[in-house]
Amino acid sequence: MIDDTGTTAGDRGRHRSLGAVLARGMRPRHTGGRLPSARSDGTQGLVLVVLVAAFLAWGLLGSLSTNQLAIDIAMFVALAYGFNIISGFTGYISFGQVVFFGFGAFATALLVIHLDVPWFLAAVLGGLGAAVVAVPIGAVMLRLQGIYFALGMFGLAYVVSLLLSQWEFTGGSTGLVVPGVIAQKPVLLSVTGVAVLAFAVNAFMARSPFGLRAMAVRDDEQVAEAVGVATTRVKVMAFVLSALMPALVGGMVAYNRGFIDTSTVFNPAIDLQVIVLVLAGGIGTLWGPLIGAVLLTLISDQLATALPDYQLALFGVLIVLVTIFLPGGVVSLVNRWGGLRREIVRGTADLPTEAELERRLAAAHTPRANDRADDPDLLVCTDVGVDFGGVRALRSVDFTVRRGQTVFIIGANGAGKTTLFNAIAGAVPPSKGTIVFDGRPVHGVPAHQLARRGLARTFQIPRPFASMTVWENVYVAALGGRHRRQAQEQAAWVVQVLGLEEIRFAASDTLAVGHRRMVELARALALGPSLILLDEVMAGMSEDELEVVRDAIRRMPSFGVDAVAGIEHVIKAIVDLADEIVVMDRGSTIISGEPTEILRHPEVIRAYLGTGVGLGAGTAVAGDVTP
Amino acid sequence: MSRSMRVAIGIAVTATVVSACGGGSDTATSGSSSSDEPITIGASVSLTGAYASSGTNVSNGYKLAVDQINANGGVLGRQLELDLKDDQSDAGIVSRLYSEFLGTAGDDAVLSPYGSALAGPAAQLAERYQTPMLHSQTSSLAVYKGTKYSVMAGLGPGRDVLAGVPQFAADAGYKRITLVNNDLDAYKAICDGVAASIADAGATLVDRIEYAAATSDFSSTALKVAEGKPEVVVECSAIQDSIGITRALDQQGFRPAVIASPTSVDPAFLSSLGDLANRAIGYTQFSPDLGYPGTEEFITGYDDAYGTAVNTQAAGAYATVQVLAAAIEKAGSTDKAAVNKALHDGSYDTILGTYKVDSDGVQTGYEPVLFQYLDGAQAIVFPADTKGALAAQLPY
Repeated sequence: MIDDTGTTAGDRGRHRSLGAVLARGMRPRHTGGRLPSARSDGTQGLVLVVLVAAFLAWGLLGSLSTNQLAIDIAMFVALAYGFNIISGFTGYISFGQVVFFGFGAFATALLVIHLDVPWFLAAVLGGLGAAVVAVPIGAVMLRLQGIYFALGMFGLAYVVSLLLSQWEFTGGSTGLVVPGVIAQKPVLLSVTGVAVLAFAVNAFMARSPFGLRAMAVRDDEQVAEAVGVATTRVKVMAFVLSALMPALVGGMVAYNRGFIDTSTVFNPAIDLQVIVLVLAGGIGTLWGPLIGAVLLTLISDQLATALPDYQLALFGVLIVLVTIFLPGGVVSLVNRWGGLRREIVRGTADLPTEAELERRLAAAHTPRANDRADDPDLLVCTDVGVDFGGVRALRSVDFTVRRGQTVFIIGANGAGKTTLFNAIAGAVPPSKGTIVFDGRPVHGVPAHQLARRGLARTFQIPRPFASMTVWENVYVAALGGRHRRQAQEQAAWVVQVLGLEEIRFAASDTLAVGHRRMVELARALALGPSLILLDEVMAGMSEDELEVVRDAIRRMPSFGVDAVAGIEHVIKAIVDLADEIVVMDRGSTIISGEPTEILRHPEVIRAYLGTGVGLGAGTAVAGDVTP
Repeated sequence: MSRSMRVAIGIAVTATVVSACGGGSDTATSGSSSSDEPITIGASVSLTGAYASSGTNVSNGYKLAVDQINANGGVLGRQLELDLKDDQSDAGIVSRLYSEFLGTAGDDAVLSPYGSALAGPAAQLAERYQTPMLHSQTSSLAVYKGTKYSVMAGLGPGRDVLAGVPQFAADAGYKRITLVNNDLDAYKAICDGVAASIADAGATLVDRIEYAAATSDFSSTALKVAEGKPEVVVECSAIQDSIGITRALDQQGFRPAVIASPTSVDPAFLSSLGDLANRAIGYTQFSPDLGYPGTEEFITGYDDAYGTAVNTQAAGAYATVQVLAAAIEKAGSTDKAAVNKALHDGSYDTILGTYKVDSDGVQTGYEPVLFQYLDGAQAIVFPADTKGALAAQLPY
């Protein structure tokens, strides 16, 4: 049985058996409407069909003003879903999607006026044109993040509007007449078609591997890159899809209105209205934009009829109330009872046996296997330095990991251990020195490409993708460079070998720390790496959890991992795992060697503890060292 | 058959059935023509939103005209019925409202919303429904271009409004003119009209300076103006821009002999500039002093109904309804083609003067006059032979 958070009864039993430490992190949290469910969403599809049929019946059979109201509703639904692709699923809030609405409107108007293209075809061409234009725009604008992207898009819309208002060809500031005939019903059918298309694209985002990658970008772009997601490509593709919808409806609306000018079709108020609709319905959800757009447009229309003097004030109060009491939108209300959740991506109920999965994976082609160099040195860092402005985080690090080795780095906080890992994984550029992984330098190579080349990492503070299940966290990593079916088998295998079967459908942001670290490890393993960089993967774990992780590290060679490099403070947990320990201090490696030798070295003791007390390799004393 | 295939077929069938049910052709419904039914007029005004400042004035003008005409027996013995709605200054809502007026209600005629951004879509709907549309507040020629059913009834085209300034200034001995215009087409057109009349007045153009519509600091514009040392400065600008430019010129210590603005008629010009507004030139198409037929009735009725003084927007709206009523009388019915013909071919007396339009429906009959602020009041100063005109006090 699966409850609203996708947690099974079995999960709950497991949590109890793992003891109090794991259970303390299992407090359910309010996470809006983004949590998936293991339920099939077939019923939701049926609901959509009924809704569209009812909507069209109402819009087409009603009066012409009803017809026009239906066009407006369908328009806002399409705009809301377009916005939801880039801002809801991909996490890039845009204040300027209206630029594509205006682009579609003007492209359609000009095609109708100058080339006598039929309006419907003109609108489609305008939409496709906007999608093409969105590629370079997205490639530039999506380098910005957060409020800078939002304002950048706002500025772009403003500038484009200003330029077109000065261009005689586009009617200057007075506008263009779009010749045509009365065609409200065909326009309604067309705009509704775009709205349905927009819903379908959002459904694709909610349940496809592509959508999963976009959600990974939304949840944590750096981690997404580290697990092999080509974030720039995903963002630009999402941006293109989000540009298509407003451009299509912009063209249709231009024909319907018969007259356009820059102040109307590039009106920033359209963007603000769409944002409000999506937030009220539930941003980043499949049903939120539809619910928000339909409900609020109807309410606004009814208020204008019934209480014209108070309409704007009442509408504003309504928005404020929804924002305060339903921050996840109307959908989050329904989610509380388990309704309107997205289906878990490729989350099959039954997993094949571990042996069967290993057989299938062994049979599958692994491209990297043939490319592996024969060099015994898997990772070679030579004289690596990293500067952050005036701060020198790494001075000169020489660090080598050989195939078949498990190497741990120790050192006090601020020694530069995580910075070294970031440099190796491509997250920060070294200011000097060279890093060679698997025979090829890593300099200038994007992190996702390094991940796909077999360089996996975990993060010091577990960073699971919060809106995904454990399964999806693992699956999105497994997707890197693999066919979907193979990725599914890889993810299933990882889930099994790390013992995550029981919690695979649990929401990752409800997990205890121990489980989160296991998810980190599982994601790294799902990449099928040659080298895994473990950044304090055992910190904060109970004895039981430590043993699970230690066992996993020991089994790495059997998982196909050539070498393991870790950062660790829990000394007792690594002395019998490590083939070599490297000690760092103030941005440099100061010594390296076998664990027993290193942990008794006077310089290590000085640097690590600052006292004359020996570290006592393998003793209980050292195990509690957490500088 | 897969689930997705079944769903796809379901959508297709449903859409087909629904389209078939609603698939009748979208044709214009004919207006009511019964002899005792009211004559229906649809109109939207902007009571809220960006153009809200115009809404009440226009609404008042429409309603007063309809009430007075109905009180006098209506038109062709039938009452006028005005269906007035708030369009919230939103083009989408305008489309919805005019679909209702033109398609659902089949109104006999429609009055346009405010400004080209709203009037443009409404005018195109009127074209598609082949219903006469009278514009009370739309001066942009682009809205009328190529239309058959739109006429400019409540004001004149922008190109004419300050076209008399060069002659007015030349008569006073000032012939060196600088034009300053907002880069929006509507304001460019006003300065184009002035520029076209400079040569005829024997004057010379010193400079023409254009600034971006978003400009709010006019100090550099004022410097450019002052460099040419013109005797006449014409500000083809929005009201806030005119206030800004006038103030900036003063701050630069530059005073032309004549300063004119198309928006100085706005009360904000006087209240904001105070003494700086004195002796500034503006234009108007309505003034009690002009004494066109119906003016007294309009002023008295407006005061009785709303308790406030009349203004040009209300006068334009009032005149628009006057024109419609006269055209229906002339057509002898509410047949839309006949009324439209009467609107295009006829000329009618209004409180703005004699209505007459060209083949595009653009106003040619109204003759704007120039006024000057003298001791806080607007006094007509040009043409000098205008009824009630006073002698101008120059320099500015």
